[in-house]
Amino acid sequence: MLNKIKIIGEVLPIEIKEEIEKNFYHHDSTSEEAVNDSDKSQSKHDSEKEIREP
Amino acid sequence: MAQGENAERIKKEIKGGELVQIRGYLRNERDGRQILIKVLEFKKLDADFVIDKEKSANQVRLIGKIITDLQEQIANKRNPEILSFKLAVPREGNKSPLFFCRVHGEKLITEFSEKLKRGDIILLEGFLQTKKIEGAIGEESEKKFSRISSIICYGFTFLDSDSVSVFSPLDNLARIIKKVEEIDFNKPKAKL
Repeated sequence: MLNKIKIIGEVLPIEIKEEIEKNFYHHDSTSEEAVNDSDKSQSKHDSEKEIREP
Repeated sequence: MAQGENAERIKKEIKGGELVQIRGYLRNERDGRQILIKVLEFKKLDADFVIDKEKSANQVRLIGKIITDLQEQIANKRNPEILSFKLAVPREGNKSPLFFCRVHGEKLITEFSEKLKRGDIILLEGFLQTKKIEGAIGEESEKKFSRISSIICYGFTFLDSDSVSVFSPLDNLARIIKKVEEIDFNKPKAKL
């Protein structure tokens, strides 16, 4: 499947660097942990569907 | 988000306030509702580079399977101007990455409802939007804000499958594109 983004923009200070490091995968996506994390992330996204919708 | 050699190069070559073009792919945040960009390539642009609004500076392309019942979603939605759905975009090592997508505007919503259904595979074209929401909810009560991302869809192409062969011949594909409202960054931030 295709997953691509191209974006042009101004570089801003990363005010949330620590937050990103805490919250994002550092594995290169082939480890079991990354897969499990993905599932957790998905279920959270699913459960928050109602909140996200206006 | 960049790793390895790209991360080192970005640290060395890019300063705050500079213009850059980035290519990469999307990933969901682990414990939040933000989508980040995993950087695969970047290019520093000249200071006098002018962003052409006609050629969007924020382009997302996803091939994935619709996993929302669109007709049911349309029948039950509270805002007739917005249709939300989820698109599954499998990627190696990531069993079921789902992206929240939104369609704005009656014309494109009608195209979606008439031509697509749950289980269909589409090439979705749109842009990434992340809203910074002031306030606090639930577990994030200690935070003063949170970020929520969606992919705003402005077009789609129905594909029979995700096989490369569907693109040959291209004449068999119908690309549907509609103009969508630009993001107004001057609007006050939403409060929860």
